[in-house]
Amino acid sequence: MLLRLIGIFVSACVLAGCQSLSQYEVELNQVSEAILSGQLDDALGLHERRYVTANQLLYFLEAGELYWLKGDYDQALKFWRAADQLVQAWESLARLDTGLIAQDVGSVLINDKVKSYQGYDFEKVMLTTRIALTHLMTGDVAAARVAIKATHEREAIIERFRERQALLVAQEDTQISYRIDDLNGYPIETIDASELNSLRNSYQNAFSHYLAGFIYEQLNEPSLSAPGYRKAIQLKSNHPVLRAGLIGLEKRIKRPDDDGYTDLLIVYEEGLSPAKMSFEINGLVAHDGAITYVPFSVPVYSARSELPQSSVTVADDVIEFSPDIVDIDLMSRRSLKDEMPAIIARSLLRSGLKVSMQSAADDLDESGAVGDLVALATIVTESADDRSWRLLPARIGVGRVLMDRGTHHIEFRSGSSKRSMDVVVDGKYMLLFMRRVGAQWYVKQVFFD
Amino acid sequence: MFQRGYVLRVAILIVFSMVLGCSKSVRYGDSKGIETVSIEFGSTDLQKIAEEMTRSMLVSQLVVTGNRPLMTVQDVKNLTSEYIDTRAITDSIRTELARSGVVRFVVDEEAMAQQVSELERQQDGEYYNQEVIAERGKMLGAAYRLEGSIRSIVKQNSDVKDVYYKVNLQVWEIQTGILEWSDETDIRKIRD
Repeated sequence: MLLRLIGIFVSACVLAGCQSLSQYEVELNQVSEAILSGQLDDALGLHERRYVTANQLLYFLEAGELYWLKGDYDQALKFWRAADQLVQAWESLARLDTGLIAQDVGSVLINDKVKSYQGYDFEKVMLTTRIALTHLMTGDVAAARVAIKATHEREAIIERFRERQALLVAQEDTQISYRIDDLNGYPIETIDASELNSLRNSYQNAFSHYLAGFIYEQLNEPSLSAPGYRKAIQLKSNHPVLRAGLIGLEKRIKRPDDDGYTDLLIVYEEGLSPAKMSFEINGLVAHDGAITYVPFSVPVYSARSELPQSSVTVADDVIEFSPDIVDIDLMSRRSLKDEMPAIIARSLLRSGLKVSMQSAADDLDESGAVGDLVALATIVTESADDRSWRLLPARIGVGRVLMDRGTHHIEFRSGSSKRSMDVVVDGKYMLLFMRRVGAQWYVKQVFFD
Repeated sequence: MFQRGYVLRVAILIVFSMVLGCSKSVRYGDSKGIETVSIEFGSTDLQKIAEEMTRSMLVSQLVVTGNRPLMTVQDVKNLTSEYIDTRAITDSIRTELARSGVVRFVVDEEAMAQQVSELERQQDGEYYNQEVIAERGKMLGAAYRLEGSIRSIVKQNSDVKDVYYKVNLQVWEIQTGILEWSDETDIRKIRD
């Protein structure tokens, strides 16, 4: 049996090839550097070269984000729709449960990067949210409604799947018990802070629901708009902008189209989502009645960066503004924390298998050559899964103000960086989108009659 | 033994999921059948509310003694945290009442823009026979308005989720402000 496993292991290493060894952060580094310097065409060129080796879902997600930043909405929608089809396939499996477990087989033998990337739950939710945002930017509110409706339906599927999964885990008589606290030297504070634990879960975000409220409100559907604002408040309680969204809903819906005012929604995004790295640990595995140290890898985030002070100045009125509605940085860490027990269990199981294979290889070949080969493959392939949708923003905020129509001077400040411009405010509703990445500001706007 | 058991289990799961993958098919279901796919507000809840409210209104004094009263439908406020399209409820009630012929409905606030647009199109257009076009100032105002609300109470612990919906509808006489009819229905769903 073990000899057969050695064969499978070596074959799988060959088949998995570069994908199991590559570092996603290194791959994407040049792309993110180009974004930081405002060279979006270069970033797209670099990303397109990754097409052959990249995971399909991640490729589509990142490509969509690049085209979105560039303002090419047709291309952004094309890639994000392709990504959405893959997520819909996941949803079909999530309803059945079984298929998702079966896909983990390669990760037990080699490493977690062999698993087909299915996206974190919060990424799946953000995907349809971003599709809705893109439709809004093209002025197609009806299409935005379809996408935002898919967002809350997706949340419900994820909720049910995770509930069933938690129940299965609770019922399972697991033979491996290893807690995060046991990871010697692991910077536990990066995934175990009070603000991280205060999140209701890793996938729901207030922005998606606030945007749902905004879209349904434009379509004069208060019975759907109100729960959008209400859910946003539940996820980010006591936030004044979110509370004002619900409190002022009836008044806003009854406001005449031609009163000379525009309801301006400002969406402000900051940075890039956090990068994961591989952290190596020596774990203890029982083999042939003895305890053996084996190396295994788990993902790790670097320490959180401080949130810069931000503000928006409209004419002479300064509005204190903070990208604090959604903290994707925090959600990423919470996702990793939730997944960590399963990652450790798979890593230990994999390490145990590798120890057994090396032992069998040593028995098979007295010269030790086969054993050395297996040992080498074990070390080389042992790397944590560092993949994630890296071009998502780290943080998202919203601001909302009723303005008289016409040209206004608007100035954004974030830390020491600022961007000012004249904006033509028009329509009954208007959406102004701003994203700051490093010193670069990406701005888009659209108004709705 | 542990590894062998795991590999065997994974193999069984792969075969099982492949079999399931092959057996997926599309079928029609009974649109009136009880739907219990999830605990969220669903088609059965919508139908129950619409049927009970319509039945109640059909035997009310307003409808029985009235001479086909003119009514307009206003918002049923969704005061829950669920995305419930309450227009689906009022649309069903309106359809059933209109089908019974005992209540007549006039254009509501939501459809007013389209109504006015059509009137203006006929008035201003050179393509219509001016002798039979719809005239301005002939629309009838409603004598009554239908409105309501839906609320929910959600309780959940690690084992059980309990959702209670309460729907209340009212018909108000527009001229006098008198409440002519009101009824409520509730739904309780438990998932464990």
